[in-house]
Amino acid sequence: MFFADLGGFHRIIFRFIAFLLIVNAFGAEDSGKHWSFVSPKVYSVPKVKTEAWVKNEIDNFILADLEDSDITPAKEAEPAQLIRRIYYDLIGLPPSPEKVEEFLKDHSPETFTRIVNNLLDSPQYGERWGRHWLDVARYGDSNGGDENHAYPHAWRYRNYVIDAFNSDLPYNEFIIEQLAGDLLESNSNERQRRVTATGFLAIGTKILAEKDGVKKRADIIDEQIDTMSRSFMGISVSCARCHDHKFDPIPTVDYYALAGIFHSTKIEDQSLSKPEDEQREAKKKARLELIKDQLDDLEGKFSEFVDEESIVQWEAEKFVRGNVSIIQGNNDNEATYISDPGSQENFVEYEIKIQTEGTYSVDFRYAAERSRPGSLIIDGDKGKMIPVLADVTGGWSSEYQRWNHETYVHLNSGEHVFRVESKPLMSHLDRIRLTRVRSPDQVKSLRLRIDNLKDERAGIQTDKNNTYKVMAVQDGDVADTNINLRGDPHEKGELVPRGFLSRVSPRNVLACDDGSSGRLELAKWMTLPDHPLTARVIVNRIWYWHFGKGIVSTVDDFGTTGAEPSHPELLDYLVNDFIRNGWSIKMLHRKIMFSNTYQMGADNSNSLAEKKDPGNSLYWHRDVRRLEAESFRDSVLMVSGNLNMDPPASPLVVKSQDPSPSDLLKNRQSYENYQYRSVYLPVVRSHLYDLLTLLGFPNATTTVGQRSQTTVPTQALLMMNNPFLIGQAQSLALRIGEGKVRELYLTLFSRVPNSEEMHWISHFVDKHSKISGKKKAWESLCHTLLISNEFLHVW
Amino acid sequence: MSFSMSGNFISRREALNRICVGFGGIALNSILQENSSADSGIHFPHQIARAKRIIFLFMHGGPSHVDLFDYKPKLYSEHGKPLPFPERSVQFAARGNIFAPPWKFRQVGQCGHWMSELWEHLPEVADDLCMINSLCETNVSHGGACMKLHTGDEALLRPSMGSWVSYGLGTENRNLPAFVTICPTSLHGGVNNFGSAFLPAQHQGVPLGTPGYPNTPAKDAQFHYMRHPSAGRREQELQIELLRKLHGSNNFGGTDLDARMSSFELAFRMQMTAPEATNLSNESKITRELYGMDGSETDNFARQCILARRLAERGVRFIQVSHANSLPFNNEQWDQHSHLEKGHSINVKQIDKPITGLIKDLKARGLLEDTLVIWGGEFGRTPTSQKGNGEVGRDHHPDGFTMWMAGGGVRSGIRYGATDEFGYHAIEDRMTIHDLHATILHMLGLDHTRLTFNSNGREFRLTDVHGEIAHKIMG
Repeated sequence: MFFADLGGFHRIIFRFIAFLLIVNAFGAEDSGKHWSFVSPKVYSVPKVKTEAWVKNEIDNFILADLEDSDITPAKEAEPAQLIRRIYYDLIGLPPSPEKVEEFLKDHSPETFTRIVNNLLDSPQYGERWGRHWLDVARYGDSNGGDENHAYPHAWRYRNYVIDAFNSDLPYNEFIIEQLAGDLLESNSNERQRRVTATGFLAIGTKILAEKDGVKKRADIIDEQIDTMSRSFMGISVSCARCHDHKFDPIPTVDYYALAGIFHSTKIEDQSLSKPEDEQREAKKKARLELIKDQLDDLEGKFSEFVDEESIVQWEAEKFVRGNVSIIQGNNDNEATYISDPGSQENFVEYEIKIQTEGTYSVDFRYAAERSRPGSLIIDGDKGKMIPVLADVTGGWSSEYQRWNHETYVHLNSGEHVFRVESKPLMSHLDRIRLTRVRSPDQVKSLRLRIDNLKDERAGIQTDKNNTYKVMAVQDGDVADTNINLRGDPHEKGELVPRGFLSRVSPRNVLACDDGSSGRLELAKWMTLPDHPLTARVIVNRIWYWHFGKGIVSTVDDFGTTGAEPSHPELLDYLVNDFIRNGWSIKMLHRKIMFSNTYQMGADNSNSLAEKKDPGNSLYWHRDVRRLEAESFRDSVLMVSGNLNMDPPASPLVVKSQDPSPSDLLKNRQSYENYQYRSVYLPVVRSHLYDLLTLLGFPNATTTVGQRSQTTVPTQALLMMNNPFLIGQAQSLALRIGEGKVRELYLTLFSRVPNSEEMHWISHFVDKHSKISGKKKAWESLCHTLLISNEFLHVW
Repeated sequence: MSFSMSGNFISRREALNRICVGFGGIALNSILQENSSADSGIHFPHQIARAKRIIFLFMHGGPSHVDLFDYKPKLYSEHGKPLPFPERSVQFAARGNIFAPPWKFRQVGQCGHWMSELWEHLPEVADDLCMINSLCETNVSHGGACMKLHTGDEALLRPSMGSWVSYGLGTENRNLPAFVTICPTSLHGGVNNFGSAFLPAQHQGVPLGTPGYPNTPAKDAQFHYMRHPSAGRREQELQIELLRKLHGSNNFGGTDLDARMSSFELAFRMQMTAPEATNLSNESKITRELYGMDGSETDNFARQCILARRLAERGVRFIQVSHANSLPFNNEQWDQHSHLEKGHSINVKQIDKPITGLIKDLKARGLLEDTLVIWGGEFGRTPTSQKGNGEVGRDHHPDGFTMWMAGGGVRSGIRYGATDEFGYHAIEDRMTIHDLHATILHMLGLDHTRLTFNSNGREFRLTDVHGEIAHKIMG
């Protein structure tokens, strides 16, 4: 018989072909399409022989294939391995020795469930899984590329991601918020979160020094399109910038349909107020309006008390004596003013003729970003130096020129000499005005009221403590865009209406006639339940982060050049389940972790299975996994007693632009002294922390769903000689106490040492002590175990 | 219907798998048989190699071709007049009129290469140089142009050419990295200029000295983490021995864990090899004098050049030497927007003798025939002066500029390509940066259209979809 002749492996291929035939049978418009461009289908859960092995539906799919290949799966993991596995998997930290011992005593399924739920509820979960997403979102705290300016507000987006995972924000909403959070109808709290979410589109690498503005904009938009399409849909659209995609059904027209949406969007930091101060904000706004009305009213009253006829006014540069510089305005609208030519004792003198004796208000018009107080001396009376020019108007340039009332003086009719002094620097003085006051007392009280109101206004305006900035996007000038011929932004082709990928899903019409960019419509299209890519891509990512390999092994490439799914029916089953559960990622974790497939041991000694499936693509045992860079650093700090588990209140700031070697040294010291979890370390593109990058931390420039894992001698050199690790080993040695090998093993490896290991270790300590003394030998042992394979891997 | 076995069947070797996609089965087998620890890459040339290694002398800031190598009599006769054609539309700074070089030119060597009188020593090796006067089509800003020169792209972060060479050819010395960059700068792309981007991390350039601004003086340049802060060799031997025993007792390991263990052994050996490679104390007096070591102006670059030769001798594939310090009156070494005369005089003084010494020394040791030496910056400088700025200087010029090569199978004593009579546009045998890359790879025996890497479903090349090999410059 044909079927009987097929080995297990070939039967799996056959089933895959059958899957493709089923997929293609759905609807004529789908025929011939690549599997991932056709919506997920509903499959029945396969039957298996060994039903006792099945804990949930995942196991049916996995075991069915294993049984087809006559492979027996490995036994369940040892409790000590299992608890270490779920701790690292969910929170990226090892269990304490107490937790391990507890679990060894009671590892019933109920206890296992309870621990998983507790870990999912702990704030450390979001710090671990949010970081996974930050890889995908190419999160960074500087622009990377050429000049590497800091992104001082990017960390708000990072915290948003951590919070989103902790609160199990439905994944479809998570996408919509990141693409178009600013366009959603929101209450004020939601608005904080959703505007912050759009940082996703703003934090990419940019070449800020590009002199060609048109190209610069096109490059930034290309980066946005690339990140969005890879991260959410697992496909690369960017090739279509220059030509129709060679392999995937993405014509150039579609690229520019998307580009139109982002051309209609601008990147701009936005000010948000802290949620708790919402009411205060409203009160302040009302108060400011009231002050404005009162000021208008009071200023109006002035005319009643002053003699408009008497006004004497002159340009500051019309002095008769002086040593200041005259600075010409650039055009008719800009004031010509005087200021210091450099640090000196500045002075100017004016000769003024007064017609009517009386009390005069003295007003100066000037601009000052910082206070440069000076004095007014009238008729050489040095005993009466009147303080002037001390106010701050907000800036040095022409638009900050303001009239400031300086003083009242009594002047007789006739000639007077006004002398203004200021040293060493001088405000930008434009004009001086004298106005006779008919009723000095009333004017003075009016002036006092005005001054008080102005002070209050300034106080309210400068109170920025309850606002903060985020990197964000908003709609700009909304318009369709032209095709750029061969990708050259200066060569315009036909105009393309904004839209989505026309060949990926049947529903492709963009309806945004309300004059908005179309981002919201894009986000909604992407999160349609029958969108063929979006849910599959995230379910596969989550699976990958649990197992170290995806059902589709190319997690960022679901296009025709990517890999086919190893278990296509399982993937679609999980996708349907995920959508049914309201796109809940935590529910998906539970589904996966409660399966026997997940709880299997790492025993790979089944030689028959090894022969049939050496790559373990059928999941007949658990793959050993190396710790990610952050888990390694956090664990080292934790076992050494130096980890602060709280989130930091403010971000760590390091130098990103043009750092000198001593800046880099300072940055390193900042990193090494930082006791918070690694997710809170700044991600300075181009100058990443080498402890992390050498262990596979991504370079934060493009979507990375799958970190590269390499083994190179530079890593080993770091492990052997890095002073930070050696220092942590010393803390660890001190914390555990000399000679307590059992405690050391429980802390680092969640198990006790066997007799052979005890023997090797005492041999090591003995020999080492002879060279360096006992204390150093014990520290050196701690260091050796910290860099050992067992500490760095999870079974 | 196509069916791809794709990743899952060798997923334990995920990194290797990803490398193999571009090369089909041949490379796959050869790599899987190798120990995966230190190597993943191709390790065989596509065709006959003219050179085995590269020394790239990178002149940061943009040396002025019209003042150094590209002689244009018109600049003297038309001095002070406007250019007879419009300047490029996207400029870095506003430009003035034609400005004559402050130096005279003369022909040097048997071949008669044009060099300005600034060069005192280089004429001695003129007949070894292949002068390329027609570089063009790069970005007008430092950042874009530096990244284009180093990685082939001016905006997106791509693997450096040294990383591609390491990936294509591997290293000849397993105790040293395949790609070393000596005293790199952190400006204008910084580490991206020697980064491996999506290529596996071992192909990243390893800096000698901290990439900073200013960069590390050559006398302090060291590889990182080569020494334990306190423990000696015997203690570390004990550590390695214990690691080996503990590793051996692990039940379910796999090749990754084995590889990690052997990387410790390799690292331990590297700790002895690498410091020896960078130690100049045994260089003879004659050598030191040849390069200008101990001369106050030439010492720093002389040390860099000697380090380059020592690494070349030890089988490092790609060695970059950066002339990338700052001058008191300009930010970047060769970036003379002002003070052209003063700046270029200092700069040439600093490198002239060391570079001449390097070429002579490589030749004397028989290394020049399979070492390709490349000299150049990210762009040239305008034949016009830059407006303003007191002491006259020139703006960035990406439309026609000069590099030269020596050794490694290149035709010596010839000139390739030319700019117009003002030194503005490259008009003859134009060589874009992609063409330069294609040509360099070709000399190393690598076909730039076949040296590919699949990242996220897309095949990448150093030359993107471009690159014409300049066959005329090869002997």
